[in-house]
Amino acid sequence: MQKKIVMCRSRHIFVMTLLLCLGMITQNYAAQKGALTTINFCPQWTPQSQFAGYIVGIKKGFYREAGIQLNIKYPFSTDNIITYLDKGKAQIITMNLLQAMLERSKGKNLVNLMQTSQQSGLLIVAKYPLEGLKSLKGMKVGRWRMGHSELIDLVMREGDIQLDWEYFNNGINLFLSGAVQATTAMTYNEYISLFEAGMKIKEKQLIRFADIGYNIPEDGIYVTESYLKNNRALLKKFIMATRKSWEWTRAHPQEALNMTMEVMRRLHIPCNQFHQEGMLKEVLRLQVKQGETQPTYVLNENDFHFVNVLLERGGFLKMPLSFIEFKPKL
Amino acid sequence: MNKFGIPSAIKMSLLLSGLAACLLFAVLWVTCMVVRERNLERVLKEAKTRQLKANTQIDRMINAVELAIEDHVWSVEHNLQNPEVLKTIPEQVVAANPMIFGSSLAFRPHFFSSIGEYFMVYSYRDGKGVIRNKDLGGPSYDYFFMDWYQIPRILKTNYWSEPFFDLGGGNMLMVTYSRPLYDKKGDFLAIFSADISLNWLKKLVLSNNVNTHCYTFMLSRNGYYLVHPNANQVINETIFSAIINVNDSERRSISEKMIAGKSAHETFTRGDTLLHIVFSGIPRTGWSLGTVCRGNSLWKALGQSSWYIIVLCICSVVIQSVLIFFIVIRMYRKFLGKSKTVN
Repeated sequence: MQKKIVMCRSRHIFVMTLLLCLGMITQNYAAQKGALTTINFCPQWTPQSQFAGYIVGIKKGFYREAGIQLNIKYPFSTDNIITYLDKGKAQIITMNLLQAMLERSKGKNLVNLMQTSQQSGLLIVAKYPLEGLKSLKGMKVGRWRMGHSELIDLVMREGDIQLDWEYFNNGINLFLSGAVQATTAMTYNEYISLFEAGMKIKEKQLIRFADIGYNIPEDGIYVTESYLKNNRALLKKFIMATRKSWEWTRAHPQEALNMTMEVMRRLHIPCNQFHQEGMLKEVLRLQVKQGETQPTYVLNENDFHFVNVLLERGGFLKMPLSFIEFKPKL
Repeated sequence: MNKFGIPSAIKMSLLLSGLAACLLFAVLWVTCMVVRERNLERVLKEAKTRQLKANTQIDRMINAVELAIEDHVWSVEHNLQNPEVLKTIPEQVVAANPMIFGSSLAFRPHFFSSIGEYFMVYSYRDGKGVIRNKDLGGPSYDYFFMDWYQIPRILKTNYWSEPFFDLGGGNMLMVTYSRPLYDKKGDFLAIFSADISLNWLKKLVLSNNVNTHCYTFMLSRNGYYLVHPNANQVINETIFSAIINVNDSERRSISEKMIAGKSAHETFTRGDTLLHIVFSGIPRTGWSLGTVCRGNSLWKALGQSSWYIIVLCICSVVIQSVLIFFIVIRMYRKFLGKSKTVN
């Protein structure tokens, strides 16, 4: 009888312990889930391996480990990315440095959180061999309506060159159809597409902005000043997780590509291995400053001042911007 | 006696059997080669005929779409002062032409000063086949910078767009035919367009396969796969994307000819396999249709019958050898008998 009671008690204790453990696990899970802070992140273009690092961060759980629930909101190709911050659709965006500085000069309280690209991938490609920008005169030249406009205007103004521009949304169809004789392109995107369409392009048909004195950083990560003030600790974690994601991408490019292409296929965005691989390779190259071997992911003060001077010279800025205000310490 | 004994007879019969077998296989081999060539010729001829037929059907469809737009051009031109009537024209195009998924009339900026910068009416079939109308133009759909509007406007010519996936609309692969319209002075007015699904094209092209050792595909003007037996290739890959890194001059030359709209029959190798390709261009759209057949497809084309031939040959060699053996032994015995009598 006593034995039975002892057995009954030990069974009760076992069940109670089990329930307690289960309760603790559930509570812990709930606490963990509750601890995740949601951030809406908007890159400046539709999904492609240019943004592989962020996709990897989500898929590998680097943001989750940092307590962040990162939602990537991809824009339409016709969207102005700044409106995502204005309308509160996103808290963090990626943007071109020059564009971000101009937006700040116009009164937008943008601040630079990270600088993922340290070099320029902008180029002009023509159907015929070129001898400098002046040889584009007489050609109809295609350029994007959104993005890189200011740099192109600036370069043309400095060179005193007036071209017959044709604005377009995206792609290479305008150029391939013969509607324009030259077009703006990115080394990591449209330039690769041209090879895919069977074009044989020689170096003489290209004008790389990096080679003519405008090798300025491009993609950076931006938030508003107010968001930074209220979320310093969170943004520190975001930066750490983003660095980790890009480093993982650099070490495992094929896996990163697979993850990116999976997202692209899900969203019915045309993609292939050749294009995305070429893009990722080039994006990773542009992340490293010329003459260096590793990316810093930090905006270089000299680069900032160089762009400041360019914008002032081009008449885009009345007063130079302050580096400390544009890139405040966290 | 041993010099011309039974072992020599076996040797002789084996030699004769071997010789006969070699001759049989040689004849068979030559026959096979001839049949293979004939078969390949037949297959390629059939591929060319089917391609011609498919091209005619595609041309007929393209013609029908172009005519559908053309038929309503006068209506647009006669109602330029009446935007309300203009709004109904794309709907009429869709209603009268079941192969057209959607149609639009998109005017140049500020054409109607009272309406504003954008004036674009779009009619399309919804999931249930009901025709719906939409005013699409606006900052969120700035059609002035879209390929279907911009390219024909600049080139001043009718234009078939590159294929695109119509996400949220028809949720299918589509192409747009654009027809620029001009006023009496020759100034640009608008783009009148029609969207068609590429599903019919897929059915038509894939049904074009001559046999299981051939496959047919279709390319867009820029080399993108419009139709391919591997659906993953469609609008994702171009004919060049797989060969850029491998420096395959044969395939590159064929690909260049294809997107240039040429027609030809050429050969190329993939690994150890010789492949034949028959291709032809569709000038009005810039598309190209190609059929690839394996050069050594006869053996496989023969399928199960090839095994019957092998078994039949082996059986005939065995029977032949046995017969030869008995004949030779018999002859030897006769020869030995005669020589004994002589001795």
